[in-house]
Amino acid sequence: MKTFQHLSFTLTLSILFSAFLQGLEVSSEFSPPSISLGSRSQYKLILRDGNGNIRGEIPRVNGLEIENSNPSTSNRVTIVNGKQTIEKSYGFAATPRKEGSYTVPSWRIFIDDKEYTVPSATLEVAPQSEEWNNTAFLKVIPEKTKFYVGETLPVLVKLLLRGDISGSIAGNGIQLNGDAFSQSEIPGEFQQGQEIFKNRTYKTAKWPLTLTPLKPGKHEVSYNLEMVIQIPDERGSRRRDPFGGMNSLFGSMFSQTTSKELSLKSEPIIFEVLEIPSEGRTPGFTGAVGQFMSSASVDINKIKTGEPITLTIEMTGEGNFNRIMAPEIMESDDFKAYPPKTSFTQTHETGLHGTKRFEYILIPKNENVKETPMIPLSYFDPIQESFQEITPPAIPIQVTGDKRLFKKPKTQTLDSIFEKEEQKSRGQESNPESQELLSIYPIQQNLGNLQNGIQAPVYKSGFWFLQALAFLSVLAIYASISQYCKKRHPEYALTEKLARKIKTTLQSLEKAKLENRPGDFFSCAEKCIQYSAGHLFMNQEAESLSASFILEKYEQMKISDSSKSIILKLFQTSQNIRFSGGITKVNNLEIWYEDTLKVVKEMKKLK
Amino acid sequence: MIFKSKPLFAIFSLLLLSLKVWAEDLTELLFLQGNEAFAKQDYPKAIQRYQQIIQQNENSSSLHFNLGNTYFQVKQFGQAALHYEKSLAIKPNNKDAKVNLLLARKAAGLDIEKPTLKENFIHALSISSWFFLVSLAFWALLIVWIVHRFFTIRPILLKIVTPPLFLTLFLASAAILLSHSQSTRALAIIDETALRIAPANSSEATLYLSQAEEVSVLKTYENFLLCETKSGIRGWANAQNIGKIWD
Repeated sequence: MKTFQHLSFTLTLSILFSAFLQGLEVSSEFSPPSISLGSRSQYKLILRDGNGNIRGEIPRVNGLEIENSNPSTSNRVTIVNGKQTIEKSYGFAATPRKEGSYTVPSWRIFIDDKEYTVPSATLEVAPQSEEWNNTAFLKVIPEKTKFYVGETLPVLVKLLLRGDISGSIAGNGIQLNGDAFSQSEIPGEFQQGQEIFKNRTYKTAKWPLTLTPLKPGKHEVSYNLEMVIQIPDERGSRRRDPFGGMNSLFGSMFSQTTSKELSLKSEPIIFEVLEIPSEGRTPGFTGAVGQFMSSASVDINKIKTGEPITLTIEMTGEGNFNRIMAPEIMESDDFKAYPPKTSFTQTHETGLHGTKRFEYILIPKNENVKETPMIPLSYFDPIQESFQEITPPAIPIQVTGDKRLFKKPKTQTLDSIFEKEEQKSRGQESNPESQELLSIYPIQQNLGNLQNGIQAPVYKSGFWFLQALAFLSVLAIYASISQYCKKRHPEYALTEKLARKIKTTLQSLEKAKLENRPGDFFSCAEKCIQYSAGHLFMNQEAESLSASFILEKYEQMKISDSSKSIILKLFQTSQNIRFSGGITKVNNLEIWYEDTLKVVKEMKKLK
Repeated sequence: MIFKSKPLFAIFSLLLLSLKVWAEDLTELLFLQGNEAFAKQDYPKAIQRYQQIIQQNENSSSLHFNLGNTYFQVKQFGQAALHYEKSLAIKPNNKDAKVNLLLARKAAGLDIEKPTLKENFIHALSISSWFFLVSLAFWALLIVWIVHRFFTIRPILLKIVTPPLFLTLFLASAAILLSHSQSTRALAIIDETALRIAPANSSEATLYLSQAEEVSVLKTYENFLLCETKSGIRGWANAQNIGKIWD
């Protein structure tokens, strides 16, 4: 429990006041008699029909602070049936510290040394929230709650603030809750006003907005607003409002205030959003929903082929201007059309009323063009619930002359140019149309494929990356197929193995020849023949093949006689060396080497 | 891994894609604005718009063609010829660009020569297309070899498939080699471009080039290019006066 500061004060109003008349009546009251916690009341001492010097002491009441300095005074004169009554009241600010009922008991007062009894007075203090709830309201007022996708709906967001309170908007101002809508821009300044609500005077702030639904269905919409309000304490001199500025609501009348942050939320409103019907949709419909009129104009109506003309289409009325797309003009043999420039002039702050303008640049391609192209235009009327056609009529124009922009020059071929040059070099007179040669081909309308820089692929890292990738892929494919064949086809594996052995043995053979080692030489030569035979006959144990077996097999394959004799001699010499312990003398290894190679090649051929 | 989750990667990819789409839209818009300015005969604006695209390192045959046309209209025939050449470097079969290039050369006061067989051969396809053919032929031959290595292919089939592939490989390689020698080509973009003895403005000029006259750039030194004319005369030209066709 907080310590309450009990005010003890002495009312020495001797200073000052003079009592009124004889037959003085004294009374007291709180004004207002009931308040919410956080607000202030006034303890009033009322002297009726009396005057004089006043002395007295207002009793202390726990939890209620009554300020004794600078009481406000007021006089009231009433005349009833010719009898005049004069009331003089002294007001003392009373601030409760907690909710509940506070009674200032009856007390004694001296006026001109004459004692009077001041009757008791009671102040009711309600919990804070009850009272604060009635301080401010946020309301959303739509024109209707059922509308179409893309239709723009005016909505008024209104803030009501109790008349005796000032406040300022905190944060980002009003915030929309509801993701199914797009909202128009919130105006920087709001409209101020005043109105009676629940028998109280409220100051108002209004934001006229528009909402555009983005999807069909039932959607809830509400608004939030953060604000800081100041409750006046009704004392002291007036000063500037510390919350002054753009967001200050009506300024503060009071210098000493109690501030409180309020978070306001409007009552949610459920909108029913309908899909725009697909039936009856016209080609010129580009999203316009509302009520519109159209018109068309051109900046000039006498032109030459190739010269630009500006065709302006205007849509005026009420509706969703921000969602209306420019209707397209298809390029034809008559006109070259460029994408239009779009502008909007609003005649209402919400952007709901105004004129949308599409400016097309058209270039007539030939002299046969008599009028501007018709640009289909239509809108959906949500009131009539149907599409309305407002295609503006074509405007007559006169196209004359020619312009080289769209004229295909007669001589625009490479051959014709070279022909002219040859004529010139031969000294022949060029024809009168020679000037036409300078008629260049017109600009191209399609941008085509874009590329970074003008560079050969060989200078681009991407090219080499792709090549490397492809090379690795081929290597991988090769390795995979090789592995697959070795596993699934033993013949392939044997062929590969013997081919490798032939290769290495031939290398050893050459080495032995060069180093003049006959023993090794003939051993290698024998093995070469054996491996080649094994390669040819798919024999697993090639090293065990004898000369007779090989020759027998070769008989069937019609090997040459010279090869037969080489094989026999090779095998015999090899055996002689082997069994003689390597002492057999052999001359001219070069001839033996050539013969061996010849046989191996012949056997490979037979394969 | 930068992207620990697939959604993040997807979002990043989408972001990149949308940026690319946005950039392409912007380029297209600039191109259209350039065309529109050209149609209105506002040639400085058209040049500005087209150049804005090139400054973004975006190039297309049509873009350079239109820029060439715009320079032609303002009688800057050297620049016009340069951009027609660039247009042809990207798309050698752009017949409009071929014609306009000749006309630009003629307007610049140069003699028009018929292209040689070699030039016709090189320009039959774009350099990218020649590279594509080389790659295609090379990889096709490699695959044929692998198939032949592991599987039985009828010799007749090999005889039918292999020679055209070898021929393609040879021709495309030749075209690339010949094109490569042309990668140094450049044009004088202003009239009376001086070819000087030394790379200095104070140096004596040996020759003055007409606008749109072709040279080969051999060397670069600071702000000067060592150029060689078709007749073999060499000299240093200010880099600002010479436009290289290839980057």
